[in-house]
Amino acid sequence: MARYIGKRVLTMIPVLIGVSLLIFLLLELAPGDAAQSILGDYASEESLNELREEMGLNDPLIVQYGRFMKDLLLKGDLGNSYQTGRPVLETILERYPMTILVAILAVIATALLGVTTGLLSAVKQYSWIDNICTVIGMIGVSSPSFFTGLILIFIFSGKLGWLPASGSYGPQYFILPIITMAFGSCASQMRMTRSAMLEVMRQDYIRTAKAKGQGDKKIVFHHELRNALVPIITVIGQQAGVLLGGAMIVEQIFSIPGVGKLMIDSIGTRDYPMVRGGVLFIALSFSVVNLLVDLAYSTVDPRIRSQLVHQSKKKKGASA
Amino acid sequence: MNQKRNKTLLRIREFFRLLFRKKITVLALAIFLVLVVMVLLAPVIAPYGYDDQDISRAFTSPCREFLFGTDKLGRDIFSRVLYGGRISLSIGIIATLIASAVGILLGAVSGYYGGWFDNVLMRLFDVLMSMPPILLAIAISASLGNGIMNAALAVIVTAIPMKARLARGQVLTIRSQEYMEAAIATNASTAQIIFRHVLPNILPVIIVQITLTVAGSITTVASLSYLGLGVQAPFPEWGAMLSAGRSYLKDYPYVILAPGIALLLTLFSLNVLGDGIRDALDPRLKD
Repeated sequence: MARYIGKRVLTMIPVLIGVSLLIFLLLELAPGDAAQSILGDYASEESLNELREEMGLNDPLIVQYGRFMKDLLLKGDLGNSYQTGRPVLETILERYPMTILVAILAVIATALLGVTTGLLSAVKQYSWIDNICTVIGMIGVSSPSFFTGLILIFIFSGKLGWLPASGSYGPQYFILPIITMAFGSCASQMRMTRSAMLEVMRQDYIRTAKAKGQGDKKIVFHHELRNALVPIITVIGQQAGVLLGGAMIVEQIFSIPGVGKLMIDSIGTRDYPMVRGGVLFIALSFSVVNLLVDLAYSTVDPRIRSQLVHQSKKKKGASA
Repeated sequence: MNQKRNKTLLRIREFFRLLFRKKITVLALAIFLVLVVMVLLAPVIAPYGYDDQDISRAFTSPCREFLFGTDKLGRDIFSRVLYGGRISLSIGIIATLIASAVGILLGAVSGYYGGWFDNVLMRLFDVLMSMPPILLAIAISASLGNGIMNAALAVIVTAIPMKARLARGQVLTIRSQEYMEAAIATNASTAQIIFRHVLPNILPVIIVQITLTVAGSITTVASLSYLGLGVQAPFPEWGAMLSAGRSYLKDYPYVILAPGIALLLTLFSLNVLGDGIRDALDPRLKD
């Protein structure tokens, strides 16, 4: 198992180097250079050139990238913000917990909503409950988060005055953003839960459980749901990554000060070191989430675990 | 030859029979067709131009003259939603087609040949897919700047890796099938094999993907515009309209209602259609 984890972590490294190179090159294409961003649009050509020379912007791209990577890897330095002059890493670390909090709450809400409705749909297959859940789920997927969010703000904040529309000063500020995200992503969870449950419900051991007079509740939760768990967790994992991306837009809608909002605001002010840091951070988180999800399968399903262990043993044997 | 054509016809008829079995799919197709026709006929239907301003009639509530009301500059929202649909739908469809063509070709070739080409391409796609798609789209828009073309390009680049992976996986599966061996044995050229044997066999999966990707592309463009990174004023893209209406939400909710519902209806019909097509093409995928 440790071998498998080690291997997965090692394969992440080249991918992340690739991401850093990609984002470095992309932002090189961006309009205006660093000197221009720092000194403003009216700076003289002379002072611009001076600053460019000082910052090493006249060096070849590969040298600049090398310097960026050296600072990042040896000193953990992502550069300074053009706007505030503060280290990028510091600012991002300040904002990061907020993004993670939103994403985690959204994953929990999505899973709860999706699994519950999926369970209902499966147990009452082809009933009106099943149909309504399916249609509402479809509307959820189809409604972009910014539309759902604005409608929720209008109803619960504007008309009813129950919940705040923007900011992050307490638990009540997170209710609307979380509902927005859960509504948009619960459908795939629901669909997967429904079909996994239906699959399990056809199995012989369920008939056996019924035949021995087991109660309905126990059958649903103990026998059926538990066996349907692997596909359900797979979708939770896939959703986790998507919700991490979705958090960026939701932060913007509800003015939550997370990395997403920081990044989008920084694009507006051409604060490219901040944008670069933000992208790298989110990409790293995304990869870590995917790794954790893979590991989660093996905890839930002993069959997968033994497969992994078996595989690495076999490889070890082959290399020896 | 005739017999072959008959068979194809039969298969197509069977497909439509399966597709229209569910009422909701028929409804979705109807909604989508109505939307497309309205958007295509925008210059005929729209009572005003998308940029006809008249400050004196700003924020008129929906009435007979202005079906969905007017915005802060007194522009007719109904007309803007119609013209906006042209931008959203055309970017969605064109970007998807380009991304699919490029992605599928790359994926098919790389799956068919394997080797270093496959290796390099797949590592590149690993990198592109190691971020949430919306993040990649945001990064690309940030670097290229605002505008319709750049937003479309961001959507295309974001969509290619998924298509290529899908096509590659399919090709790897069918490469080991017997009919491929037979094709190779009859000395068919590579182009012949890819276009006559490989692509037709992966078509069903691809069609479903394309329908769903159109919906995804429209969402991505709208999201970029909502964030201020995509289509810019005065062009009436739906996401941009929602973004502009946000500040007036409390007093004039109708400014966001029409573009939002248009977006919702479009995406809803495409998603339902995609599901319907999947069920009709491959009954095994159905629960």
